[in-house]
Formats: sequence, C-alpha cells, structure tokens
Amino acid sequence: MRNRRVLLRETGTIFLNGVLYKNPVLVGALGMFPVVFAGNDLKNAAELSLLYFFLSVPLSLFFCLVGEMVPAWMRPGLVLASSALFYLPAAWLTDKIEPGSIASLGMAASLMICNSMMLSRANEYAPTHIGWAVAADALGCSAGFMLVITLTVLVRSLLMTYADTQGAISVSMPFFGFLILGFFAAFVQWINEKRSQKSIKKR
Amino acid sequence: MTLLNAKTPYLKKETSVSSMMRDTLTALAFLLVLPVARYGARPLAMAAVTLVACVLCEIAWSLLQSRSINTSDCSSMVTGLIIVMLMPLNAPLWLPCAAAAFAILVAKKPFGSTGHTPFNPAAAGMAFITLLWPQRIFSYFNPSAGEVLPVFADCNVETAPSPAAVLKNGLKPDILPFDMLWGVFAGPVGATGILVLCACGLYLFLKRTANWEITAGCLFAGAVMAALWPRIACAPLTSIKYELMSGSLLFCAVFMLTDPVTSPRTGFGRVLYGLLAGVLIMLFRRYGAYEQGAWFAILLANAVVPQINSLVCGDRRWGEELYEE
Repeated sequence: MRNRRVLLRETGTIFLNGVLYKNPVLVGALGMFPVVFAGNDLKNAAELSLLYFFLSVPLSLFFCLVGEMVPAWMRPGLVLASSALFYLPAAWLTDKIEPGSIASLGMAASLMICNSMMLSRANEYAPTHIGWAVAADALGCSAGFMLVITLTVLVRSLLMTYADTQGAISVSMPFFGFLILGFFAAFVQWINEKRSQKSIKKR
Repeated sequence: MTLLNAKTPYLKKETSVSSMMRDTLTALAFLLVLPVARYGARPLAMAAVTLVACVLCEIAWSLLQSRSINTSDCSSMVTGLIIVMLMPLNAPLWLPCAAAAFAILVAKKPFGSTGHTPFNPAAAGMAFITLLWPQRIFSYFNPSAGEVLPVFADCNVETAPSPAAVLKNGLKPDILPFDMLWGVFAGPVGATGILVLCACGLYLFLKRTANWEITAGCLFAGAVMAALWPRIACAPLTSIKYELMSGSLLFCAVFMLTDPVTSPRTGFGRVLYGLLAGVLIMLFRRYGAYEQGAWFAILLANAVVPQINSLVCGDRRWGEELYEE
C-alpha cells in the first residue's frame, strides 16, 4: 500500500515536472519551432498538441523497452527513424479527429518527426527509466507542450485584437513568439526559485 | 573594514537616486516647454495622464506583492515622462499609458525595481507599443498646418512624414536649419527641439546625473556611420546633420542610454557601450522595419552590458565601493 502511494506520488511529480517545473519548452528550450511558428490560432495549437501526444507516448514507451539494447551511438539515428515510422499512425489519428489538420499544418506537422523535445525524451530519458515513469513523463511533456502553445496563442490573439494592421503582422511573426516564450520561461524560473527558497526554509 | 548598507544602483557620488531622478525630471520638464508654448495644453495632459498611470501601476504592483507603497525615488515618473517625450503629439492618451504599464509592470517591477532592471523600462515600453501600434507611433501631427489640438480627446489632424521617415525613403528632408534646431517639424513631442535637448543634456552632464561618455560615444558612432554610409545622396556633413537631428537619436543618447542602472560601470566601458548603441541605432534606421528603432537598439545594447563589464574590468569584483578601508 505504502509503495503504491510512493509510486503514485512520484508519478505525479514526474508529470508535474513535464507540465510546469521542468517544462521541456520553457526550461529545456526544446521544441520551440512549432510554438513560435504555428502557434497563431487555437486550432493549430490543438492539432499540434494532439499530434505531439500521439507521437511522443508510443515513441517513448518503445524506447523504454528497446532503448538499452541499442548502443548509445546508434540510438539518435534509430529514434529519428522510429519517430518517422510512428508519425504515420499519429498523423492518421490526428487527421481522423480533426479532418484536414495535417494538410493545414503543412511543414509544421512533418517537422514534429525531428522535434528536439521528442528526440531528447526518447533518446535520453526513456531508455534509463521504468515504463511507469516514462509514460508519466510523456504525458506530462504532452500536457506541458499543449499548455505553452495554448498560452502563446492566447497572448498572441489578445494582442492581435488590439493591435493595428502592421502590429498584428508583427505579432504573428516567429520572433514575437520567441519574446512571449521568453516571458513564460522567466515566469517558470521565478516559480522554481520560489519553490527552492521554500524547500530551503523547510529544511 | 566597514560594510556599508547601500542600495542599488551603487553610485560613487554624493548624489542619491532620488536627487538624480529629480534632475532628470527637471530636464524632461524643460523639454515640455516648447511643445506647450506652441501647441497648447495637450503635451501637459499627456504627461499628466502617463504619470498617473505610472504611479497607479507602482501602487498596484506593491499591493499585489503585499509591500509598502514607495514612489519617492521618482524613477517611475522619469520612465513615464521619457515615454511621453517619444510619442507623437496626436497619439491617443491611452498609448503612452499602455507603454508605461508595460514598462513598470513587465520591464521594471518583476526584476526587482530601481537598480535591478537589466533593460531600460522606457525602452521596453516603447518597443512594446511600437510592435503593436506602429501606425499610431509613427504618424506625426503636421506643425505647419496650424491646427489646434484638443487637450484630452482623440485627434484627427493632418499628419506629415517626419524627417526620419523621409530619410528612410531615401529623400532629403525639406526643413530649414533654424526650424530643425527649434523643433518646428513633425516628430516626437520632446525629441525635436534640438537646442533644448542640448541644453538639457549639458545640465545633466554638469550635474553629473548622466555620463557624457555614453552620449559622446553614441553621437560619434552615429556621425561616423552617417558620414561613411549616407542614406541620401548628399555631402557627409549634410548627412550627419540630418541623421543626428532627425528622429530620436539625440534624445535617446541623452536620456535613455545614460540610465546608470543599465549602463556599464567604467569610463571605457561606457564609451564602448555608447559606440555600440550608436552603431545599432544607425543599423536599425537603415535596415529596420520602422523609421525609428532607437529603443530596440537600446534594449540590444543593454543586453551586452554585462559582457562589456566583464570584458573591461576582468576579474575585478563588483561592489568594491561598498567596502571602506
């Protein structure tokens, strides 16, 4: 019973780390391209989040199973090849849920295959952790990615509502997305700093 | 050895942060005289509304943080007035307030307020509204049209391209030198009166509130770039005249770059910083999307300040002035 509680607590921690405290986009600066390039409207955000979820969960679990059997030098190449393979069902599923989404996402969808966030989780995290943790991490990272891209879209939409014509164009540019990400990243850093201060006080 | 409990920014002078801010406020207030005399009370209304917005933002942040409200150092007022000086006179009154709110709530307070800001808050505020409302920022009221501006209401007045916009289009501004010195041309509220700006700069340098090395470095770099790579077909001196007197280069060199918090701590570092800012301002003018990008250049230059400090000062420990033998 006690072990189960510990396991649940640790799973929750891993999940929360992926969502906020160690968010791969805001803390690891991974997978920023889809957020800044395609994070312009909520439909894109939802489709990319779904695609990321359908791609990252099976890919991470697969490398949790076979990762240790593959030599380290070979793993990145294999992750990329497997990612391309897993992309096919993931894209099919996303297109089933939201018809026409893959075509409308265009390059942003297919570039998810070599997304740095995907490669980092499958290549580095998954082979060295147990299945439960890997699943929690993949789910957490998916939720974290969805949170960041949705918030970016919301901020952009809000600013575009009030900006003039030229301003709206600037807001939709990738560099503005980087600025918004910078502010979010600073906010997460601030939360982490507060947490570490709190834990030092507790000790 | 005694440890002095000093507050940032660490200044080696007799002056305090409040006295420096008061000097800057005085200089900025002088810049308002000419626009008020020429165009009525609108510049004053704009300044008053922005200052109120700044103070309200300060109070709101203090309440949010459950801290005591303290606006005595006047730094937020300086930020607000700098923003007003860079606005077109016909801008709606909410525009400087939006810039001030961004400057205080995003660029200043979260970093720990005065003495801790890595970026000039006024420059950040201006960059924010330039990105969102570029058409309003660069649409200047035509002073030669002789129209009366309402004090508080939105203006639908005749606009004219500023000399910076004319230069951006590769043309020569058609302004008499005397008008240029007295600021009788389309441009920001406080950045057109060149003579008053020079007088204010001199006042700040003599009071040792602003460092002349930064301004000199910036203007020198701007002049060299204008002479070597003129944007219009003219003599180098004419190019220098138009580049230095148009837009907000002079204003930014005197009031924004010299911010002691965001500028380097040594003389040589300050010269380097001024030169870099001057080059960046000229590059933004030439290749930027907007006719004026001085605030973007200032933000970039601010980002390089820690590197300049470590490059110039090597292993020297910061805060040595805190210790008294």
